[in-house]
Amino acid sequence: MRVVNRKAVVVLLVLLPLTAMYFYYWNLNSITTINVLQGPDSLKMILEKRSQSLQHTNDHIPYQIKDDVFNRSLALNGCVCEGNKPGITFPFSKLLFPEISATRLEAMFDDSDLQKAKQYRSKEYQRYRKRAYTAADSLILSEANSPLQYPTQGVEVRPTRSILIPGLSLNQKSEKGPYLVDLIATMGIFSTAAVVDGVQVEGEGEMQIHFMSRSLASLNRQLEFVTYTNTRFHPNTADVVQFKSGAFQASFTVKIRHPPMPKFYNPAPTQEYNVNTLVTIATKTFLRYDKLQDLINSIRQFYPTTTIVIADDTKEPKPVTGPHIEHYIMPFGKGWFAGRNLAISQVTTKYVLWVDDDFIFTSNTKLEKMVDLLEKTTLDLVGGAVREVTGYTATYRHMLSTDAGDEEGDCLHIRTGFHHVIEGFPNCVVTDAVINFFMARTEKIQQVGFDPRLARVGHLGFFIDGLGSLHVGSCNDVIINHASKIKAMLPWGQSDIDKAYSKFRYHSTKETSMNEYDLYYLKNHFQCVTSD
Amino acid sequence: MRSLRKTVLLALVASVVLVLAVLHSWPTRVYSTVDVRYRPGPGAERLLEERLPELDPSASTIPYRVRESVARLLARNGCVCEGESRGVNLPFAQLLFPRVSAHPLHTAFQASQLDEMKKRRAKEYQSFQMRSQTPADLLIVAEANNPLQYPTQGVEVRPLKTILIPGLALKELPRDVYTLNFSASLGTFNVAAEVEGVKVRGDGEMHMTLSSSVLSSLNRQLQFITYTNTLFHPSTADTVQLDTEGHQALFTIKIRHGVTPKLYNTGSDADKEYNISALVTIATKTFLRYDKLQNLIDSIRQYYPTVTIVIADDSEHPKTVSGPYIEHYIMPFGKGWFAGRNLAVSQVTTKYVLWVDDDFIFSANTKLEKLVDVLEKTTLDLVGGAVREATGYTATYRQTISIEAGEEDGDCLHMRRGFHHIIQGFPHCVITDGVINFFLARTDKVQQVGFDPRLARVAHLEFFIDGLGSLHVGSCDDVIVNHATKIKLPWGQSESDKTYAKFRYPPASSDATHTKNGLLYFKNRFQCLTHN
Repeated sequence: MRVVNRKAVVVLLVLLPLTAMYFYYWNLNSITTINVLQGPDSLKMILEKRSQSLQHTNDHIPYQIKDDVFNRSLALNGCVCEGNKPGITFPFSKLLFPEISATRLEAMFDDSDLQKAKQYRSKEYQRYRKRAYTAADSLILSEANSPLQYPTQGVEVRPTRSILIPGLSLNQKSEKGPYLVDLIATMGIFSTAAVVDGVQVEGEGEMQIHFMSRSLASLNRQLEFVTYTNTRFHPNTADVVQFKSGAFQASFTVKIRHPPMPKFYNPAPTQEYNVNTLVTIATKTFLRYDKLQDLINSIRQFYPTTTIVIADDTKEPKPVTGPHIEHYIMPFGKGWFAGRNLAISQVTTKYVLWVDDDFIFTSNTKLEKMVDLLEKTTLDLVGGAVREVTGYTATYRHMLSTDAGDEEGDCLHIRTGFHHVIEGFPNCVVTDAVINFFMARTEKIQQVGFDPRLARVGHLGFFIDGLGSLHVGSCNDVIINHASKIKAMLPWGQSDIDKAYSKFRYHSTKETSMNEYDLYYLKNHFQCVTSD
Repeated sequence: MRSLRKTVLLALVASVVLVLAVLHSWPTRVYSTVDVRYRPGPGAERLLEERLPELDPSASTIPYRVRESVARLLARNGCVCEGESRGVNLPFAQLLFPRVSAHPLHTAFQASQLDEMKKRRAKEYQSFQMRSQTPADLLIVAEANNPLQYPTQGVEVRPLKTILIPGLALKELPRDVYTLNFSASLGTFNVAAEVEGVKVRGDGEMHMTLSSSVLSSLNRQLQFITYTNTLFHPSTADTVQLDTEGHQALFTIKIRHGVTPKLYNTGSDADKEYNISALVTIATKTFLRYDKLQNLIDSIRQYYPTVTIVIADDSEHPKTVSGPYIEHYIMPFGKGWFAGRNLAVSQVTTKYVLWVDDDFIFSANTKLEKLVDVLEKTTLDLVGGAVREATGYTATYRQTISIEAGEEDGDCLHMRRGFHHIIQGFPHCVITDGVINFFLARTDKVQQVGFDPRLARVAHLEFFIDGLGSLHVGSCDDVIVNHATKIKLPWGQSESDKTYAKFRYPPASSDATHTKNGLLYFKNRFQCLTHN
């Protein structure tokens, strides 16, 4: 009996690993190899060839250019930055008649560094373009008088899933059977979800499927049940399906992607829906603990339980404590945007309010107004106004736009002003960039981020990174005070801390960090910038 | 004379002040009001629904038989999570025969809170949908035998800019007069050139009409139609309606900024070996385990002496961690796991960031160059390695993640062990959706997705769930890091190990698990999940 038990144990020990190996290799059978190397994309070529052949049938008809319209749409080859010619310079001329200035960004580099920088940037940009490309961005034309009916937009499938392709049909006006239809894909396979008598199907479960029938009505019934299954995995891309019948051909895209992932914020379950649970106040400090304490005191006067997040890169940090205060210590001198990025990375509420450490809350600093705007609109960020001791109140509204360029980069244009007034909020406008006092959706601001490569000077860099994804507003009826700079500007009025702060704040050392223009050129692929 | 001079001076000052005041109040631009409140679009969806051409009416009488094997693949209304029934409970059963288990997520909340939670989530979801949906996502079908030629895809304009609309043409049987109507809702039409014999009405407006008695002249004119966006939004789409006698076509013009890249200067020649110090930053999070952290640092320095290491630390009494190329960040006590990770990656300035746990040990098999090579040569955003335990067992923790669309209760989340494809050119690497806690990632992508600081203790796949659809993930089993041994007997634990375990391994019923499931429910809008 004892010998029998031992044998059973030995047999079991041998069988278990064998079984495990069997299951492992069995799973390997269904695995396919995929090419995600950064090579040429054949989808783009298919689409480009097709578009060109449809566009050259009227070359013999003459025309006259309308300069006023044509010049505005001339974005075909390269882009240009031209400033206004410097006119008469007299006091306040900049204020009264703002002039446009242009800056070539490659002028920031030495000649020896420039060639290297161009090479690196060009290589990085090519790779970026390949990662970001999808066939859904290429031009497709619908040919006139084609008997093919098909979806031109709105067809979407999740990666490795199946859909029923909507809207397929053949409407041949004359002719008699048999009727032939082909479907061709490159990232998925076709099948049929139902069977119709009288229709012959070849290529089920393959990238090409072929239908034939003597009855047009039966064929069209069958086309109502064609499925597409994505087989080449990518989390966000598109396939091009070619739809053919005889001499006629059409292309449409099937988007292959996961739907956008929501990121909702739930105020604490046991608390009410109010500013304290919706908003976190974030700030960055360096040396100026007296101003920071003034800020905290002023916040507590109006919002006693709102969380305040402080990023601090002072050399010898002092503790900043109190209820609802989170103080983060950074390595010495890590800098401005790194501190901002750290602070927002720690926010757990739906909205984050950014303030500088030398701001002071007053009864005009009504955060509820900002929350109200963000709750009721599709805006992602809303700026307020900053009041100096002189009474001057600034909103720093700017519009940003880019012109598509060439291999040298795009052109960046910065202008003072805004786009529209917001209906229902007469004190608020839609713009592209605002002042350093704003409330934003936490999820969006974390998505865009403050590039830690900007160590000392930077503001518009954040809004340029957010261009196209941040929808920005600005309201002039939510006002925060700015601690006086006049006193700090007079040499005998400065405290020792103010002097040390100025030394670091207004220091221009090229080696310690990149400046904003370096980033425009190297990171954002701009060649020049205009501003007024 | 002296009195006269004073009078003249005063008059001059008064004049200057008045002129300044007049100039300041002079409106320099006319602004329009824009509605960005949460409202249904201007009927675009309704318009599209009504416009969908009916399928072949003669096909509706044709019978069909459903093929279950294919129809089953299609998304039904709603989604369900069902686990596999548990069979015999054998040792290692889960390892040898992984079974699917299912978890409803609303049980993270008490019954009294659940209704309120559902209401809040539904409201957040509606707002999210209005923010993220555009007419470019709606289905449009190209009608068969339509004499209009037009672009179905690939037409894009930057906000408030102008483009030439490509590919327009009319191919119709001879008639006395040819007429074409254009309609848009977010912009205006115009002509960039004039062709004789073509009459244009409504240029510069949202509705424009062309007519001509010569078809080829009209088609020449159609090569010069411009569209100008006039209502600002950083990322949206307009639907253009094109009409001729008895025929209509719809197509979409995307209105969005050109995507601004975020490139990194790698500082190295493409032909040479990778300069790991310039390309990679190593990030880790620590809590109490300074001995293990020091072992990690020592092992890194053995192979990569000058790579930057970023450490996020939320110990109660932090110790100094210093040395060249080390950045130590102090957090408030117990801020937690994902908050620390988010802080660490927020401070990275290199192109890639390598995530490691503080109890990992680098060895000769930890070849970061291999991971860099994968990311440099593919379109992947993140690539995981393998972690070897003291027993010799090496784990990659590959997971596929998919989401099934649900209804108002939320979607269903499915997680399975495994991967999608092997990567061509990299036989040890695969495409998957989630990997182990040892990975190299593109810094801008990992910052974009972020580690939600609301997850304090128990979390890992949550990052990959948040990144689903934007992160393209790989996993390689030939880059291996060692894991400091976990096999320890109770009397062998140091004091700090015991304290760490108390925080790290909370009971399953604790708040941490509830928080995690609550976030999946509320933040990502899932109703349940399955995994094996």
